[in-house]
Amino acid sequence: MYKLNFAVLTEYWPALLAGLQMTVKVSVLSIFFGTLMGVAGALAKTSRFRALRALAFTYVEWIRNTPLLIQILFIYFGLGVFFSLSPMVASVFALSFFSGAYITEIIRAGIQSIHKGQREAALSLGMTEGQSMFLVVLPQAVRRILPPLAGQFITLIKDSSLISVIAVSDLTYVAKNIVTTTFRAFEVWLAIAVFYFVLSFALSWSVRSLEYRLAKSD
Amino acid sequence: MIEIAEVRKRFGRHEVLKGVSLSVAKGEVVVILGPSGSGKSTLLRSINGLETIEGGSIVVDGVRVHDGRETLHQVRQLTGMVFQQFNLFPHRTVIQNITMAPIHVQKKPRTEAEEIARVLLGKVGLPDKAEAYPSKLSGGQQQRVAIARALAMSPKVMLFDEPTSALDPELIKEVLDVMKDLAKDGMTMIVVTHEIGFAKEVADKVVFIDDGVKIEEATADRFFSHPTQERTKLFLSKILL
Amino acid sequence: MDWLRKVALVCLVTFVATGILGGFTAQAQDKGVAAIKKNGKLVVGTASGYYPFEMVDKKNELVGFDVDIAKGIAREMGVQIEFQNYSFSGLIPALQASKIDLVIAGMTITDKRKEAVDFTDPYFISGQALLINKSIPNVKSIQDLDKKDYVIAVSMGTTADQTASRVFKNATVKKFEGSALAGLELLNGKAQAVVHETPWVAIYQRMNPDKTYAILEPFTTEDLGIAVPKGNPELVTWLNAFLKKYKETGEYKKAYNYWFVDMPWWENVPPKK
Repeated sequence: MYKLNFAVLTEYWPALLAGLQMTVKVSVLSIFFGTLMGVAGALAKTSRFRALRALAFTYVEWIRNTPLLIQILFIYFGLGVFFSLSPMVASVFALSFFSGAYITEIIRAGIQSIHKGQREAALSLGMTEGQSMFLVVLPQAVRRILPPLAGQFITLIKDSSLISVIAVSDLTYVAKNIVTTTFRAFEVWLAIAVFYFVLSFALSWSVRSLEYRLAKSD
Repeated sequence: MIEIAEVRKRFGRHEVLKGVSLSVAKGEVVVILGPSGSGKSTLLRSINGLETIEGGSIVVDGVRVHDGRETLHQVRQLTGMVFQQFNLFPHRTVIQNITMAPIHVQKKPRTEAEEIARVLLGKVGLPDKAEAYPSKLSGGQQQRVAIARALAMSPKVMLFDEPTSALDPELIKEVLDVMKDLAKDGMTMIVVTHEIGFAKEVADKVVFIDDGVKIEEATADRFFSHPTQERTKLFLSKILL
Repeated sequence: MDWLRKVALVCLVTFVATGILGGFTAQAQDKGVAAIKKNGKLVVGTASGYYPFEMVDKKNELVGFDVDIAKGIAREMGVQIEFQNYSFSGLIPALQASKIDLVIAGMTITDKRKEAVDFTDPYFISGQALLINKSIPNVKSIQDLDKKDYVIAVSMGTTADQTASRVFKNATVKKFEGSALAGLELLNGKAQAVVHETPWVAIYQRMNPDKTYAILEPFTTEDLGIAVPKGNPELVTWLNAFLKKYKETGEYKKAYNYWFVDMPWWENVPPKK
């Protein structure tokens, strides 16, 4: 009969905290670079150069139609045949690339949701396309982009658990290690789920208050 | 000032402008009338390059409109446009809306731009609204700010695309009054509108466009009292009381 | 703030309920021989990739020394056999969750594991060996590998994992889901060595002679056993009797020669890249 023993959590608490730290670190780095890629991607997708639009389209479709796990394995083990990437770098790279595609769509949708009259008014006043984008359209789009962007951040934190397969010491990797040593699968996985839950929930709660405050200023 | 010659424009397979020609002299006020879908807005938007054309040419103050990016940029500084939906920048205050282009396009220093802006706000009757955000203004007030914004670039021609069509009736007069003042000051204006009263009062020339073709062009007096074309007469009978 | 309190309450209730229910349902179901026979099916958990105990051939079928034993057990019981492939570290949890009837996966009998599951008598004696990347020549012992910048790759949850973590003080031990990924890490030069049991090391080295060499002399001694859920002494007894018969009838020797000595299966099993 399986006897519950939650004491294993207190015993491994430092390791779990270290794993949590790693998860947060990788997620923050990835969302940062992912956002940069997303801005570049969105600008490419809405540019007047067909080559840029095609490139961005290909990028987004590839990422969105292949599993993240495959992407991680490909970047670490696949590309690893040709040049060396540390697991941490490979993880951030993979996660940035991954979220960048989704963020491209978020930002593109945000830009396109701004009434085209705004751009027309800017152009009529003699502004260049670039000025109209950066002075008029993007500042307005930012407000609409923030909530789904934050949502992507939350998703990323959960998706980051996959980097455990390339032996990055994130929360999931640490958990797997503990389970294989103690065989306390139930207690450990329940605790890990709670960890991710608290992390995600805290974030989505702050996003909701951010949305609330932005809506008020409209 | 403006030479529009045999302009043709297609949207997909639908030909919207079928060879329209029009001349506008300096200081003239031209009103363009026509049913919806006639192509009048498209014609207006071609003048500052918001629409491309497939045939013909448009020249503003000696500069060809559809001739590459450099000339287009020049043309857009020669012309100012006022839109049906106002299109004020909601994330900026009224005065920031007006000074944005002078600062970033004409590279004017902020103080100079703001001075110009305040003068213009006075002209359109909104001197105390400088720090307000557009969302706090009524439709009529927003449109007047839009006019000031366009004027801030010292254009030689002002283009109006149904400027009062989106306004509540009681707010229309204040905008038309500003436009009348502008005309009195000698601004070259091309106005697409349904406001017949304005046309009768202010227009030098009235042009009727239907189905992409210029049907009739005449002085305001003659246009309304003695239209020559059947289609013009039909149109007028429908809109005049 | 009222809704927040409600959410917290729901979370607490869910947590407690799961804990209680988990305690109730996690009773080891009686999976004695009779139950298996009644089910008509023996569900065997294994972790493919450990040559030559369990591996996948070109026809995508599971074959190997352990596979033959498992098939023998099912035959003797008169039931069908179903294999479920897990990552090695997932096998014992699967047994505890009653997803499988037994585990035969080149699994070493250890005291720690005996706390979670029961084992039969040993059916094979093995030991850990070293697979080394040729970029580090002339390695003679563990000490030669125990350097600060070196990485030792292992399969998570195996005794190789535990042994490596114990004996390597300076090198870093990296754990992967399965020996395949650990081996890949070695081939890509990201790990200097892999610790795994002798049979696997020998075969993997033969598959990748240009990049690897091996020290096959085992530096531990390990008994491999079949794992069953706790509280099934009847099943353990039955299996031990089966293993005894398997050895006495010469089946064991035949299988051993086939998989370890003559190796006629070599052509049919695709090499690991």
